[in-house]
Amino acid sequence: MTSAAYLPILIQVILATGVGLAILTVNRVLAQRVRTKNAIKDSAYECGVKSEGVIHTRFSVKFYVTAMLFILFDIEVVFLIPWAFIYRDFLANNIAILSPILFFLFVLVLGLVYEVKKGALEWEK
Amino acid sequence: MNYELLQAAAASNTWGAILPELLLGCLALGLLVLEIVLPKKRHDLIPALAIAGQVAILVGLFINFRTGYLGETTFNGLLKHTESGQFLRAFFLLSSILVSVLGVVALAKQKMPRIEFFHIVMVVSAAMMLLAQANHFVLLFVALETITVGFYILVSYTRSNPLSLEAGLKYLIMGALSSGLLLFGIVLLYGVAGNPALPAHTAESMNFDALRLFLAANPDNVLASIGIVLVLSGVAFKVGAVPFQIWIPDVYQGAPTPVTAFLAVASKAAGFAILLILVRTFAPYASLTTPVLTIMAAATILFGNLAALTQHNVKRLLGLSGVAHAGYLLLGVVAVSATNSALAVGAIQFYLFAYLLASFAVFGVMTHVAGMDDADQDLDHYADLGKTHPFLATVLAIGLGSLAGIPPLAGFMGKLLIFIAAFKAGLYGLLGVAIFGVVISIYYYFGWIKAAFFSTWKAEGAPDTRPARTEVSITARLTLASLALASIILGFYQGPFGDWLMLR
Repeated sequence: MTSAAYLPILIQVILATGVGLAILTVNRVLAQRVRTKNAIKDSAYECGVKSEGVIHTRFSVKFYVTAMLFILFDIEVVFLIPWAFIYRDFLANNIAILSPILFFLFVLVLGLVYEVKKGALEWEK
Repeated sequence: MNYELLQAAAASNTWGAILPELLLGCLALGLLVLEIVLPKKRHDLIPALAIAGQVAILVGLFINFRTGYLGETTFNGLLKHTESGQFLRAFFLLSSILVSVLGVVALAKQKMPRIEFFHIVMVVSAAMMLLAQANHFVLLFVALETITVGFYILVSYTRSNPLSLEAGLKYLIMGALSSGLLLFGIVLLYGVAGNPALPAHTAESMNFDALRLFLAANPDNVLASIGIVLVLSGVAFKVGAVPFQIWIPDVYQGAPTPVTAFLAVASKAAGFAILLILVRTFAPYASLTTPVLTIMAAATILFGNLAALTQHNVKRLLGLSGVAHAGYLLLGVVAVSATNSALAVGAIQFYLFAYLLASFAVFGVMTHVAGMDDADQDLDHYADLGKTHPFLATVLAIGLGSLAGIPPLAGFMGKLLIFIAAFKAGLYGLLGVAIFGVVISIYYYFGWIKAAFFSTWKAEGAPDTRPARTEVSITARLTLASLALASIILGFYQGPFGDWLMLR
């Protein structure tokens, strides 16, 4: 491969750097801020009252559990889509493809049952 | 689409070849099903069932030891079935059983979910068994990740204990770093071996056989050299070789004791299983791998032994002495790398087995001496053990003696065989370092034995702040006794087992 073939990658890198720099510059130029160095005036405020508590509140662990379970099943379904595309051709050519996916689905359903029985999907406990 | 190739690939998926792993995986799933199905008060049955099931699989593996698949590759070149692979399969299964036995004892002291522990241990063991037969970088990486992801959970299992959580986090970060190094190395090797401009380039450049042929045709390729060193570094993290040993003391201390034993024995053995496969794959680059491994081995032996000298926490002590053991094993790997001697491979496997027997004996005693807080296990806690618990103290002494390499115990034979292999390979300098290391190690091992037999708890009348010792159940007593007995017998008489390892 000649080095010219890598040109799109170079353009991509330049583009990525350029966009990042542009956003930072625009923010720097257009953002509303006090011109003099005054950290307090630039900080987040609450109707003129001193802000209280932490800015980043902690989320309940329930959200993380749900997100994790979603990713788990989402990725498992990703395996099913290519399977659905090719299974006719494979079966026509006598390649065993049915029983492996059935076993896979069995484990998947087992996982779902386990999850429900363990109460991972109950929002209020 | 080329259906003939796909048909051939599908035909090589011989599921019977990985029956032990499949059974172990199904058993692990079955435990979770049982947990849902059985009523709460019958849950004590499940660990017993897990252990019985694993013993049955081990027996089946022994009956079918000389399977028809020996010497063949299956799953389209992903797996290669060898006698070493069969030995390591049995090794990992045995350590999984022992971890389960220790797990029953240790988990009884904690308010923790029980069943998941056995489930994860078994899944990790199945991955280790596959890893021992890997013949392809993809399988190697997937199996290795299954092992490490399982260990992230196991290490931080007692999640109410901050030290356990800290250990889990440290292991996660270090494990991710090592996986990154390994992947970088694999990518470089894959890329360079698939480059059509080079002689003997191959489309199957992740396959170890194809890679070996490529490396032989290109003896000094810079990219391949970098790839090899990166892959070796990634594996060195797993075995805890210097300079990648920094995570060991904290992780070993924070993890629950059975998990520490699992890390110390099975995870280390898995690392050496890969290392042995890789060193033979990288044989055309022996002029590169031998010096790298030599320096690593010397530094590992010295660091492990010197750092263990000052430890008072027994888990840290065992962790750092485990680093030293990794060094002795690396000595054997250097012998394989330098001369490709079959003797050294047998010696490493014998050493690993002796290490398994001795380590699990010591960790078994530790599980009984430890209290609620698994990280707090000092040498002082062992005072009077010889008087109050003569059985535990004897097992401890035999285990530690075997680890130190005192004749006539199995650990001595292991060290002797490795040193003979190294001598035959002409590694005199490294041999000197190793013998120096062994001499140092006797100090701290015997310090522990002294604490158990000759020390008394502080002053007369001082308040006893030690955790209460656990009663030894019959199962645990039988297990510990057979481990200690095996250590003694294997030191005197290696029998057909030794012949089989040495004369293959």
